[in-house]
Formats: sequence, structure tokens, C-alpha cells
Amino acid sequence: MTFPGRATRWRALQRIVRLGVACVCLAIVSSQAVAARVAVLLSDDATPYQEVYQVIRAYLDDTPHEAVRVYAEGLTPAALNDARLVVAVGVGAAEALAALPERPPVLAILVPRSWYLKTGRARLGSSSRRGLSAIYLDQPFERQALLIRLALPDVRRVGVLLSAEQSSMVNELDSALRAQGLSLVYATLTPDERLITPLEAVLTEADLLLALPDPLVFNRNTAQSLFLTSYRYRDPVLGYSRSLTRAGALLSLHSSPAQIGRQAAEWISSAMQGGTVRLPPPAYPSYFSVSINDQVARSLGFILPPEADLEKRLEGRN
Amino acid sequence: MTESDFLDDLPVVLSASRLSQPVSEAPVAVTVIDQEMIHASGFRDIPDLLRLVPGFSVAYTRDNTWAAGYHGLGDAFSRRFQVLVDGRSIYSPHYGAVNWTDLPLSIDDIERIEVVRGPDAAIYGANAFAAVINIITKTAAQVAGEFVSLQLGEQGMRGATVRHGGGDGALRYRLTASTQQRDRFERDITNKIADGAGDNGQYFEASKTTFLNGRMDWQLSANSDAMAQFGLSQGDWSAGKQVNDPKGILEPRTQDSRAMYLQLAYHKVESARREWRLQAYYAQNRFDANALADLTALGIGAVNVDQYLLQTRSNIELQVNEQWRPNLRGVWGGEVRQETVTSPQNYNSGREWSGELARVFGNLEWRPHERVLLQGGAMLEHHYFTGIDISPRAAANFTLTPGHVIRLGISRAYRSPTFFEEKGNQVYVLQSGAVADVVTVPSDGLAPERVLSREIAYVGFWRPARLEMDVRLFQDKIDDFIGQDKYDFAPSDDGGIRPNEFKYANIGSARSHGGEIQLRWRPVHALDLSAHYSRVFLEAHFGGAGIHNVINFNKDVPVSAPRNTWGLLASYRLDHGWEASMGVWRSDAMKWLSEGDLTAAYNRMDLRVARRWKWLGRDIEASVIGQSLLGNYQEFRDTNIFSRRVYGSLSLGW
Repeated sequence: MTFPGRATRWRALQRIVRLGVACVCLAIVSSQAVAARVAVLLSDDATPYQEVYQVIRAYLDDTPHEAVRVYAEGLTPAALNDARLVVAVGVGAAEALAALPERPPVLAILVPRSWYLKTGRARLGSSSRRGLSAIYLDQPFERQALLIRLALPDVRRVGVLLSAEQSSMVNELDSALRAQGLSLVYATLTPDERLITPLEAVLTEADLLLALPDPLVFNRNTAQSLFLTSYRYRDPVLGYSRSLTRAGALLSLHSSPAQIGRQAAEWISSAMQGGTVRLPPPAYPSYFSVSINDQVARSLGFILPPEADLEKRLEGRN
Repeated sequence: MTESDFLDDLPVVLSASRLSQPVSEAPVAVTVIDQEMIHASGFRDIPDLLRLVPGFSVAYTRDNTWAAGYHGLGDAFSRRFQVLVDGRSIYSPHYGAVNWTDLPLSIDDIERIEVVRGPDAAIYGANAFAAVINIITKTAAQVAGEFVSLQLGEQGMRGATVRHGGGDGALRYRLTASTQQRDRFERDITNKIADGAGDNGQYFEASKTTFLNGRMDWQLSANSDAMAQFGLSQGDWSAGKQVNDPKGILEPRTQDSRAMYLQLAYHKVESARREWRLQAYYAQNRFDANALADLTALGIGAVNVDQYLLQTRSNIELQVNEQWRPNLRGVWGGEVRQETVTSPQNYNSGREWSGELARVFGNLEWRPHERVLLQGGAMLEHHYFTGIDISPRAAANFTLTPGHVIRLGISRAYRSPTFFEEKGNQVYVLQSGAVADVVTVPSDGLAPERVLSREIAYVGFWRPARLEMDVRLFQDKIDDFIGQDKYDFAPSDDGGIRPNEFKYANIGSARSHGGEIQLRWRPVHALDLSAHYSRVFLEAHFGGAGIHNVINFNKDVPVSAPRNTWGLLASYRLDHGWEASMGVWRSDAMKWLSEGDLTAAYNRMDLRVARRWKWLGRDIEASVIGQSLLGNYQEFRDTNIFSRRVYGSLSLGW
């Protein structure tokens, strides 16, 4: 009697080993194809950029990918050599990246939309359509308009003060407001003009001042006269940052570096699933917060829904 | 544009101390006079703006001073108000009156005025007795650029104001220079027959005041800022009269005033829960008026009238605003002050009188339920004449439905005697140096006046109709009222000019009750309407140990409050920059105390038509204002005739 059983068993074992080897090989091959290095390029070592990096790194820790921190200052092509994707955090980082002759696919985050459309997109230009994208720091006008309707249902006319550079966004803003039954009152600042005159013209007509990020309008030096004047007209200000709320805006709609970092990390992990990096088209932040200045609300006599309620209702619509 | 435009810190502009408390949540009744109202009223003198506040009586007394009363008790010295300009107290330590005429502040530089109707000593200290008038001026950042404003009109109305707002970045300043001329009343008086025509004649009252005022705001960081202010004024005033009564010449024909102040403040926002402000100021008011009155014909001799008066105030204070929990907030602080007065004729002595006062205060605001707000606190102060007093206050605000609030309040306040009330020893001195006549003898030591004020109020706001309404019923009990007792206190005095002498004493008590209502209605952007009505019942009870002759007290004090007063201010904005406004003020007859007369009931109507336009990049406003268009009325004295008049105003800004 031979030992057919033994021989069969041996063959079976061989097969298993072969299969195992194949599996391991396959695993090795496939992991080589998927696990990759993402360079997170920071404009400098300031807190907001570091926050973004920390969020991306923590998120990627649960994936095969790895995040490496690189600084814009003294950036060399070698520093990005083995990166499959560069996340440029801030305009400074994106500018440094644009100066390199060759670069991997780029995701620009924490950048203003107007900068990206006017400058960034062209300078970071990529051969592949899916190899360049951005997550803006701005909130979409639709979301701001909806917030006004949810938080301040009595507001009908929304006032905006713009520098000439930003005046191109009037149409877009107007249609977003109109969709919520709001009308736009705006004034354009001519260079060297006193801020107060056009501001008063807007405040006289408007029920609310919508602050848009524009260094020629809202900055450290103009904040005082803008807030005091709108307060005098009893017109609340809707701002775009937590610091604006703290300074005197009734409420603001904004995304924190951590929220943008989270969205970037989600984009990265899905963009790198295939063999080539395929980024979604540029978009507004999907995570955001509402902050309310209770003291201002009280003084102006506004009763607003809680921040969390507003956030939830805004998310429901977006 | 970069991300830093989103992420950078901005200075905290509307901090808790800079925001005004909403009227519905205040523990006291508040009237806010904003720039729209100031503009629409056409008034160019700050005290006139008090006509916009329910229950107030305002009058120019002559002698380049203003009188104001809230629910009566107004006299030439208006002693019962705390008046603050950016937190700097401006009432006089000598008389207690407010130095309105020499105040180096342009009405164009006022941001808003918040008037607390009723006592609020728990926050503002003694003298916040009848009301608190809080003037907030514009910061340098609000008035960048150039501004020129000119007025020209009847009754010697002249005004020129020039302002420059400069600086950039964190350091900004404004500088205002102004000269104002007024000739308020009719000069020739012939209508007085009743008193033997002694008051008929010519009155020379006219004022010309020139001032310079500057403010610097320095944003040191996102969380701290500093403010510095100064002001200088010089008044070349005419006064006096030439009347049938020969003693009229005791009033000097020219008056010279100089005032100055310097104010520094540091403000720090430590966190969203805590901020503090440290402020120091020094103010000096100097007044001089002399006359040599030859009363030889009356057998008195040549009297050397010397009204020199020098007053100073030095003050340092700290105020801390805190929020411990979302529903528990507080404000506390302390203040140290020195006041000095020098006036040889008023004190029969060349010495400088000086006193120091110190105070600490704390107030809590607790919201145990979203519809209930409880506020309470007290001021503990040590005054140089009257020692330690505690002024407490408590209020409860109940929200019936959002925007509709019922308030119950009770408040105790004191008014410390002024230097003149306590130590005044006014004498007329002959050229030889000998005393010709004693007018006032020093008091025997005064207790502070005290008031217990109770109120029940309703504050309503209909947002869709844009209507704000405020109704208040009040009851005030004033005790130890400080007034003048008239008697022959100095028998050795020959009484050449006045046979008897005055002495300040705690002469009685007063009780008042009544109601008032104010509303503001802005139904459409073009229309802004504010109105108020007040009805007051006041009674007086003469009484006090050793009081001789205050027979007028029981008679005069009750009529010092006009029974009914009301006011209406409406402005309408038309197309092409045109704007029209109308103010109507009505007061029943009233008696102005101490040196005032029984003045007849009056209706006063002012009209203003203005147009704004742009010319070569400048904002221009031209307006014509007609005042007292219904005809003459009397202010303070029955010889002070405020007649119909018109003035024009032109302002340019760029």
C-alpha cells in the first residue's frame, strides 16, 4: 500500500505554499503600488499650518500612506523627490512650489479662492487635469446667504463693501443672495477714498453688513471704524473668521485649519487609491463652524439660534 | 490676498465695556441720543439735546450757564446730575453745576449720549442722583479725513469747526478746533411791569467760546489699546445788565473763562471673559469776572466785585468687566479723586479748599432663567464732607415674550454737598477791603441729600414694525434736601445790599411720582421718529431743626416740575439727498428754583431742511434751521426771551 494520502497531502501543502507565496508577492506588489508618501508643504512653522499637518498625519496613520512635513523656505526638488502628491498649505507654500521646474500633483489648501483663480491655478498648472486642485478657505456665497436667512430672518438687504479688485464677484454674490430672497446693496471702494463714506451709504440701505475677506476693506487698521460705524447704524456684521467674531461681528461662518486638514486628508486617501493621483475639482470647505458673539447679539437685541443648530441646518442643505 | 487675511487676529473693537447695554436689559431707564437724532434736531449746544429725553427741563440761565432739571428741582446750578464725557466727570465741585459752556467738545464729535433717567449711584457714585448723562465721543478712527462745519444765523449765531482725523495703522488721532458765538436772548426787555419795572432794561448776555480738542487712539495689540485726550477752551463772554434796579451793576459785564483737561486711559481685553480699563484725568476750570460797582447812591460805597473761581479735579479709576459663567457677569472697580476750589469772594478767604474722595463698587448680573435677569450692586464711598455712604441698587427684568420686558427697580443714592453749599461764605467787599455785605454764611455741616427711587417699567420692541417703546412709572423720596435758609445770620452785618443772609441747610424733603413714555419708530429707512411724554407730581415738605425761613420751599419745589412735558422729533429723507426734520417741544409752566422765575408754559417748534451731495469728492451738507418758529418763550427767567430765529449751516467732509 502506498501512501496516497501522504502524497496528496504533500501536493496540497505545496499548493498552499505556492498560493501563500503568490499572495505574499501579490501583497508586496500591491502595497508597493498603493502605499505612498505625501509631502505636506507648509508656508512656515506657524500654528495654523502645523495644525493642518497634524490632522493629515493622524488621518493617514490609519492608511498605508505616509505624510512628510516639508517647509517652503529653501525648498528643493529633492525634498519632494519620492512624493506622489504635494499638499501645499497656504499661499506661501504654493508659491514656493510653483517656482520648482517640476513637481508632483498638487493639492493647494488654506488658500483664498480669488488667489487660486487669478494666480495659483496658472502658476501651478499641471499637465494632467486631475493633477491639480484646491480646497478654498472661503465659504461659498450660497452657504452665507442661507446662514443669513436661518439666523436673521428679518434681514432683507445685505450690504457689502468691496475693493475694485473684488468687484467681479458681485454677480455671483447677487444670485446667491437672491436664491434666499435677499437683495444686495454694495459699494465699490475707489483707491484713496475714505472708507467711511461708501460704508455709510451701504449701511443706510442695508440691514446687515456682510464682511468679505479683502485686505483693502477689512484689516487690522480698518476694523475699528468698520465695526463702530456699523454698530452705530445698528447693522450687524456677518464675518468670515473666528477672530472677526471676537472683534465685534455678530456672527461668522468659517472653516478652521483642522477642518480643512480633515477634508484634505479624505481627498488624499481617495485620490491615491488608483495608480495615478486623481484629485477632485477645486472646492469650498465641506466642514465649517458658525461662531456667535453673544455680547454683540445682546447689545443689538438679536436672539439667534445656537451655533450648533445653525451648523446642523447648514450641513443639511449642502 | 492670502490666508492671513482670514486667519490673522483683529483687535477687539466691540468689547463688553464699549457695547451699550440693551435698553431692555438695563437695570435702569435709559434714553440713547444717537447721531441721527442730534443731526435731525438742529441743536448746536449739547445741553439742548436733553430736550430729547423724557422728563427733562432745559434752560439757559444767563451768566453763560445752563440749567437742567429732571422731574423738577432744577436751579441755576443743576446740582443733581452726574455728567461724564468718555468717563470723565465734568460737574463742578464748587456749585455742582455742569460746565457746559466752557466744555471743549464739539457737538460734531459726539458718537452718542446715554442718559440714565433716575439715580444710578451704585455704578456712578454720589451725584448720580437725578440722572446720569454719559457722553461718548467718536474715536479717531471714525473721523479720518478733514471736516469743516460753519453756521451763521440770527441772534449772533456763529460757529466754525475744523477737524482733522489722521494717523494710520495702529495710531490714530483727531484734532478739532472750534469757535462758537451765541447771543441767546432778546437784549431789550420792556415787558416787566409787575415788579415796578426794576428788571426792564438791557441785558448784555452773549458768549464767544473758542476751543481745541484732541484725541489719540493707539491699538497696542489685538487685546490692548490706549487713549489720550486733551482739551483747551477760552471763553470771552458778555454778561450783566443795565436795568432800572441800581444793584444790576453788581453783575460784571465781561466774563473770562479758561478750561483745560488731560485724560489718559489704558484698556486691556484679557480674554472673552475679562477686560479692564484704567483711566486717569486732570481738569481745571478757571473763571474770572470783575466789576467796580459804585453803589454810593445807595449809601454802600464802591463795591469791588471779584467772581474769580478756580476748580480742579484729579481722578484715577479702574473698572473691571467680568463674565464668570454664561449667565453670570459682573463689573467692579474703584476710584480716587481730589477736588479743589479757590474763590475769595465766595469763601471770604483766599485759601484753596481741597477734598479727597475714594470709592469702590461692584455690580452683579445674574440670569437664573432665560426670561429672568437679576441685577444688583452697591457703591461704597468716602466723601470729604460726609464720610462713608453706601448706595445700593437692585433690579429684576422679566421677559414676557422676546422683546417685551417688565422691569422692577429700587435704588438708593446720595448727593454730597458741594464746597459752596458746605463752606460758602459769599461776601461783597468794598474797594477799601472792608466787607460791604455778607450774602451767604457757611453751613453748620450738611448731611448728604438722599433719594430712594422705585420704578416699574415696560420696555417693548416690535422688530417687524421697528418700534421701540419704553414706559416707566416712578416714585422718588428725597430727604435732607439741601437748600438755602434765609435769615439774619450775621446781625453785625449792616445788610447794605441784602438785609438777610443765606445759609445752606438740610431744609426738607420732596416726594415725586409720575410716569413717562418714550418711543422710537423707524418704519422705513426714510423715516425716523422719536417722541416722549412725561407727567410728574411733586410735593415738598419743609422741615428740619433750626430752619428759619424757607417759606418758598413748600410753594416753589412742587411747581419746579412742569406737570406735563412732551417732545417729538421726526426726520424724513427724500430723494436726491434732501432731508427734512421737525422738532416740537412742550412744557407746562414751571418754577426754576434759586434765581429762576416762574416761566410760562410754551410750545417750541424747530424745522430743518437739509441737502447732502457730493462735489469734487467732498461730502457736502447744507441746511437751514428755523428755531422757535411758534414765537417767543421764556427760559429760566421771565426776562430770558427766546425768540424766533433762523440759521444756516454748511459742512464739508473729505
